[in-house]
Amino acid sequence: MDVPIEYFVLLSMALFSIGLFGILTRRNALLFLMSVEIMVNAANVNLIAFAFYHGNLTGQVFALFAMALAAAEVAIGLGIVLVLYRNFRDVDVTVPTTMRW
Amino acid sequence: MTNRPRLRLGQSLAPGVLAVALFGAMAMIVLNTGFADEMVGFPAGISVTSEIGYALFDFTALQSAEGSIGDTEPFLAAFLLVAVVLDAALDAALVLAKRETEGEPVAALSSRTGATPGTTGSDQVAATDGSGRRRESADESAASDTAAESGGDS
Repeated sequence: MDVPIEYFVLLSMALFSIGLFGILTRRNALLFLMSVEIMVNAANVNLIAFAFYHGNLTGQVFALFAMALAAAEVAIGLGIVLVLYRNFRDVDVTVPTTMRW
Repeated sequence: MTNRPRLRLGQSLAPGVLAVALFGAMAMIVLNTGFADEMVGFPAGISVTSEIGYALFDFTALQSAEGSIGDTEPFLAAFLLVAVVLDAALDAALVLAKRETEGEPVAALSSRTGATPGTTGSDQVAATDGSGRRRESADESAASDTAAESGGDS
């Protein structure tokens, strides 16, 4: 286990950039949710890598909490997608315009 | 026809360039940061999983007695807060999934609209009771229910 910390941080930043690209380009609400999950997982990779780097477990426990919050966020997000489909017969996020500004 | 992935350079070119530029900038910053070469790591012979459990439930006596993984904070308050947040998320998901037909909320787990326990009508009668006339009326009410449902949620 002698992988330097830079590689973990680079992996995390690559995941974050992929998630950001997905959020900026996709129009499907489900793919939006997936992109947000990729960005949350990038943060988790950083937390666990730096927990190992510093030799204490705070980062690992905090990553567990981040996963629980991501689960809560997905529950709300899927409910919103359900309401979106029920009202607009579509999950395209550019269709509903009344709450945009 | 083949269905190979294609590089779409239309609308997604600018976000792609932005994401790659952000990655490049962050990578430059990280590669120029002087991290220590050696990671501290965890000592051998100590169960990381049980140490995480002790940190989650504030077992500081066990933490100090068993392990030498130091400086791990107790997290019991955060654990309880996350439990409350997950419960609230479950409730909110149920509220969002609930339908309303003609102003009456329909529970997410009931399969029929208007089949509350108090109502005793022809729509409660099963279609297999042998009476053709009652089955016919049950079918009619079911059809009107579906019509109201499809009109109500648009």
